[in-house]
Amino acid sequence: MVWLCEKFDQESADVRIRNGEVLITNMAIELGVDIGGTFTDVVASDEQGRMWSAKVPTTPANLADCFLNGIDASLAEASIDGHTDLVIDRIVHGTTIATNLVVQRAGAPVALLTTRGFRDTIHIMQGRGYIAGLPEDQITNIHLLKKPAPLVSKQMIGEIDERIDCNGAIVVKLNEGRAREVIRKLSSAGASSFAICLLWSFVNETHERRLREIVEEECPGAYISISCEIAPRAGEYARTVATVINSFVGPTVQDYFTRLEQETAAKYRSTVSVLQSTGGSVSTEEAGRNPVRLLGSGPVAGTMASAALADNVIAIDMGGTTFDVSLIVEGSPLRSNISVVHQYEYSVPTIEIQSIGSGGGSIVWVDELGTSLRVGPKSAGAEPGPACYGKDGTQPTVTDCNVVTGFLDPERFLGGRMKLEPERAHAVLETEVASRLGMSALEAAHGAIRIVDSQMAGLVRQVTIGRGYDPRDFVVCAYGGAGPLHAPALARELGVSRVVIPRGSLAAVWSAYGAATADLSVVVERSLIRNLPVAADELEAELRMLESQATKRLVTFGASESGITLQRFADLKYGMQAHVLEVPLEPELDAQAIARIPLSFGEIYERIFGSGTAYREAGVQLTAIRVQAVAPGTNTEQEPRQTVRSDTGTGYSHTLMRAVCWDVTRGFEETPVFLGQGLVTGQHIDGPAILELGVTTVPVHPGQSLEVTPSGDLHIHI
Amino acid sequence: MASTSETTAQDSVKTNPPVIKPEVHTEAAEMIDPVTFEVIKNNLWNINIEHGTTLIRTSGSLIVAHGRDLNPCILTEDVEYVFAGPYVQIITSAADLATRWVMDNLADNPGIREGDMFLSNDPWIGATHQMDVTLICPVFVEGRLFCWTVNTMHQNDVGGVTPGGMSPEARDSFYEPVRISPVRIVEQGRLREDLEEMYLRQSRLPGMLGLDLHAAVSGNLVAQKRILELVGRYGAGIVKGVMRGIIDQAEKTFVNRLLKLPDGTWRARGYLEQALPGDRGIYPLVLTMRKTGPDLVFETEGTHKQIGCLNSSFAGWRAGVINAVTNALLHDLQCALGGPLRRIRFDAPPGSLCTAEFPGAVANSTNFVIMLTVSLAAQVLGKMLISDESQRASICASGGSSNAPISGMSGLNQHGVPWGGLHMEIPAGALGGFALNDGIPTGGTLWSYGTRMPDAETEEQDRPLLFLYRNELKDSGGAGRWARGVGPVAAQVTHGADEIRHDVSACGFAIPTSGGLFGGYPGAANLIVEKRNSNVRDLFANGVIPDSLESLDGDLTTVQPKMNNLRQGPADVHEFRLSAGGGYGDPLLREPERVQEDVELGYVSREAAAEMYGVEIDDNGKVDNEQTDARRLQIRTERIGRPPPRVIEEGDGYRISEYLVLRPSPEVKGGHKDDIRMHCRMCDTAICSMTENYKDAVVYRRLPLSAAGPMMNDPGLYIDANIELRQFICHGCGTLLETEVGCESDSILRDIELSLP
Repeated sequence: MVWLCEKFDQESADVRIRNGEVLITNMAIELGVDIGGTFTDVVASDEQGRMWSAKVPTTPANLADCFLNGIDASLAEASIDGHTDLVIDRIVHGTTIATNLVVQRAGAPVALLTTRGFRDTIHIMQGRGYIAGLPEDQITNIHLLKKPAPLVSKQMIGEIDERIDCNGAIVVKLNEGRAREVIRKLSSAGASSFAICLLWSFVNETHERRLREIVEEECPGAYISISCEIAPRAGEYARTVATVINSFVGPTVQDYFTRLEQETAAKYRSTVSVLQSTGGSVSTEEAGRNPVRLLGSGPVAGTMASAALADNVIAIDMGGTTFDVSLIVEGSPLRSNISVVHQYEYSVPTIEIQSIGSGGGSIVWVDELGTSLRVGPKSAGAEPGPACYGKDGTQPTVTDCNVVTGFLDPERFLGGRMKLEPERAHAVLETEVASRLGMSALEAAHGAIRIVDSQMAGLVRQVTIGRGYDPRDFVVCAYGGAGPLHAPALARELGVSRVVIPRGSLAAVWSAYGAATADLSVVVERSLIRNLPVAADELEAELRMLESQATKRLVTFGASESGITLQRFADLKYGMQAHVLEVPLEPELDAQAIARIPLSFGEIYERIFGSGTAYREAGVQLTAIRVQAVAPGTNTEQEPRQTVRSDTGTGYSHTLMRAVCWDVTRGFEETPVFLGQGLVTGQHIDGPAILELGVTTVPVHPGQSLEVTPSGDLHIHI
Repeated sequence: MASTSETTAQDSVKTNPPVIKPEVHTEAAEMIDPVTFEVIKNNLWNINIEHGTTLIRTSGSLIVAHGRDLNPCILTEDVEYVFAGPYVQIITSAADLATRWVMDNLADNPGIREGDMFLSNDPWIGATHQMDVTLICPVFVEGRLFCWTVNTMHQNDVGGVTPGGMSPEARDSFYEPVRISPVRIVEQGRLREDLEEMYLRQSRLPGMLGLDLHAAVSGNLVAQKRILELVGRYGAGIVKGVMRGIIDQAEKTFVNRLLKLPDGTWRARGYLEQALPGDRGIYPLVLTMRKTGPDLVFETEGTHKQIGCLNSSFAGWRAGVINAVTNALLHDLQCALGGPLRRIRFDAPPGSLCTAEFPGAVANSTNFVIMLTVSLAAQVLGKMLISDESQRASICASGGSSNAPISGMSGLNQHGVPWGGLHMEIPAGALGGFALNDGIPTGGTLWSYGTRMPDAETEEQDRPLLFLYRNELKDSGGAGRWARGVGPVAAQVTHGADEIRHDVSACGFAIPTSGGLFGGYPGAANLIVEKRNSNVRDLFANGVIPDSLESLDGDLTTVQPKMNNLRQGPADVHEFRLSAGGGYGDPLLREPERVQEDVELGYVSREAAAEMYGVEIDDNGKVDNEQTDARRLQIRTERIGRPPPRVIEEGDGYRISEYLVLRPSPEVKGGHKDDIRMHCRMCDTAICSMTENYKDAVVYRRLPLSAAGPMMNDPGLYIDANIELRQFICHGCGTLLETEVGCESDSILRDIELSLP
């Protein structure tokens, strides 16, 4: 069932038909499919940059169903506009399947093979698994904390007699006889998938590779991951986790992709590529070999798409339960080397996305003294959800506050598909919060929104200022269901001068759009621990090897070698430090270029940590090198065509008025409401005003103004 | 200017108000709407976190970057805590005491100006020990002192006779790193290179110390800048008003919580051992907490006088107490210590282990007195909190790493460069049983939030060693109704160098320092042991990695807790075990299925399941219910010397311990305290009057320490005194009400003494 088919291009389609345009056939289109927890979004784009989107419910029991439903729904939209006999050029998929399998512990029965003596590494979790990934203000509640359920039980961990040292020298050679016994025992205990992570394997791979051969001999057909391929980085804990997750989710993910490929080949004569958290798409075969790189890939698509909008972007995505921030600096998203899933830290280079539990579902409450208004971190989630959903929610949430203040229209929530109950929102705010603080419900609602905006601003400040960037040098790109609703106030709080709501109503399905337009990309890396200056020819040779690996992989996905661009990075630190910074490297390294590395590292370091803080006497150490190879996706080279009507310069006026509380001291003010499908290029709206974009609402605050750009983006000038 | 020895930290706390020379900003808006308040409060918290993050990211040491052995804070202009950070808690107290000293003593000469920062590490002024170096930064708004940002970081080496600074041989503090009373090391924005050089000159690792000094400066700069931005945006009066409001609110919350609890006195006792190498004595540390209405007083009566290398200054002991109060009563208040500190007094005469006078040796304070104080304070607080159902959940029996053994390692590493460092398993301690839940195996400590044990690969990179194993130690967690405080064990051999020097400075080998609570048993003690002249290299050559000392040939050698200059050679295997977490409640009341799971998870052996929990696990790994019932009855019978006359039938009432209730409840109006009696909650047997010591009225059993669990060490290897396990048991049902581990000659401790009106 197509539950909510968002028609994006209605107005321009009308125009085309009125102008007597012929029906378009045999048009190649690209599809982006983003399967989220609740909804699956699909965006289709054609060669002329026109786009259609669809939103269907996610079918958790069989994700392939919603994948196909969503595609059909989007194609139906396109056919309404006259597209028939569509040729699907490619389908790019962003998926939470790997994350779900980890969170629900629903992966394959996995066994871990590790160096004898280190069975408990993944259980000890560096002694901090009980707080990993939690916000700092929650870790003092020690009695509420616990470690996550194990990914692999101790009984399913086999200890292998072998040892390599930090230089790669073999201290104890692999004891194959004992290893075989261990593997047979695990196999008879039910292991069908193996993760192999031995100490120092990223320096010397021989034992891991030989062990894989032995597992292949002993357990033919088993899924096997080895850490020197999955996460070739120093640090056995996060490397072990990455490898175990890979084998835990691998078999299910592979089956899923196999089914998708079969269905799409039969139905649409197209192949599928998959978006990774490293920020590019790869073949399903590659993704199935390396599924740990799918964790968190959904939000990454939104970040990647935002990178095309401006050089410096703060990308914010707000949904029902979380607020995600990522940063694009000079056109490149910032990366992180360690990520956290369900309190497990794993080493995979990902686009860095920071989250806090602030969303529409965040609960508004009063502290035990009865004097402070608080918001979150507890959330009402989707069930029971905000009180105004009328589903037994008894605690006020941020969404309830947006209803009470008039920012959300109870009749138009999710494009009118869901009717909200404003009386309930008002009632719970009154009883749970306002009466206890001696305020009106409106004051409480308005205040809670200010607080949640400041929490989000706090996270954005950490992400920007904490790295030496000034948020005022950025634009905010806001998407997701609630992103545009809060972004204009958030931007004001940050001193940012412009908010971009990308492609108007596409903002609500921005991650799917990101998938549709994603480049093919791979990131390859290796640990290389050297004190600078390092010999130029050694480093150059290592980087070239990574570059050729990366290029070869992209070519196997169908990229043409000439279109591939390569970027080099190094992780550097001052000698003795534990934390590294990633810095870009020059494309050709000679002795002079090597000599420049410490200088540019020092500059970046001092920009972040303050001038005079670099301790150059300690020397600079290289710990890892990385290469990113990118080949452009096909339809993205051209500027997307306008997605709004361009035939008139006069604009159109609002059709509705509603009471909105912009300033709590002035109470409600009658405010013009504009409907998105009436927007035209160049249109200019002065605040206060509300713009309804189907499933999202954009407030233009007093003193702000909104402008529609030729590419269909909405710019709000703060 | 007063000299260090004359003005002790303790005096500094009492002095009021401080002499203030720079013009001070005191105006604070009183009426701030709750929304603006919350917004600014969040900002101030974030600023302090950003301060901490900056230190972590720029520091050069594993201790700071992974151990999170640091803490930044924001203090008001009159030196009250607004926020401390969620890092190592026991170093927090340095900030307010040292800052107060700067205000009282340096305002005239050299003066306190915008852009200045003051460096100090003096335990008699306000440092937990000399390695915790504090950098104090006054923040000025329009020429007036507005507030302070302060950070403290543990330094790897600031000098002294022993690498790392913690010397087991220290007879006084002249054996230890030099004490630096606050010096103005940053003057109007410029780091003074002469003072920097003098400071770095003390260290064996000047490069690392220099890196951290720069990190400390950056941290303060970041915090100062962000506070000034906040003031620029909202105005100084509003921001100051929020600072005061945070302190007032935390005080009110603290008071409200205390008012829900009975008045009374609670006590806990622990022991430190071996005052110096060769000594075989033990030295008690007694913590008394008195509560009257909304106020708490902590005392040291019964604590041994200062001796050898075991001591702490007042500042350190106070820090330990504050740390435990934060865990128990302030866990949801984001380390807003200022308000609660208004209601806490410290009544501790100088000259004891906890309040050593200059020049007593105090560099070992954190790992000896302070960590033990955290455990003891957790116990007395837990016994007070049990009365209020809404506060019960935060009670924790004790944490692991409760006396983290320092075994400083040094020498030349595989790159031929001098190196130094500690065993880094300390962060992977454990949390013992909580009142309503199990503890966390290899998961943290009570004295720090979120420390991280570095990977073996991180350590092996620059240390000339190879780990043989690093695992969770079965049976190390104290048994209890709630348990799982399992700690780590690790072993290493030399690699890439001929030897590693160890300087061991530890306590808690002879007597466990992680106590059990309400009938729970203590967690395993610390242990360092070596297999000398072993066949480890032969095993390597044969393709075998030994995974325990038992699987090696060689001479099993006891390492004493105070031992300098121990040399580990290529054939010697060095094993290190950390104190684990204690159990909460009588282990016979733990659900058998949970014990079965303990066995499955490798936390408890089958033998210990039967011995300690009375749970018989069959060959399929499942509970044998019939045998379990029989075994449990047998244990109860042994406990009281006859079959228990009453059956277990859990009841409730006004709790004064996990298993003792008052009848009638003191909350009933009109009653008289002489009429109120203690009853066993599990069988309703009447024990004694509320005014008596229940320990005198129940079955009292004295057992060898080995009865406390399979991982107890033999005290006779380390000390002369006889150590025993004492059980206090309900004569009605055989429930274990409380355990004590103590010296045979010490009297029974009166742990609970209520003073209801």
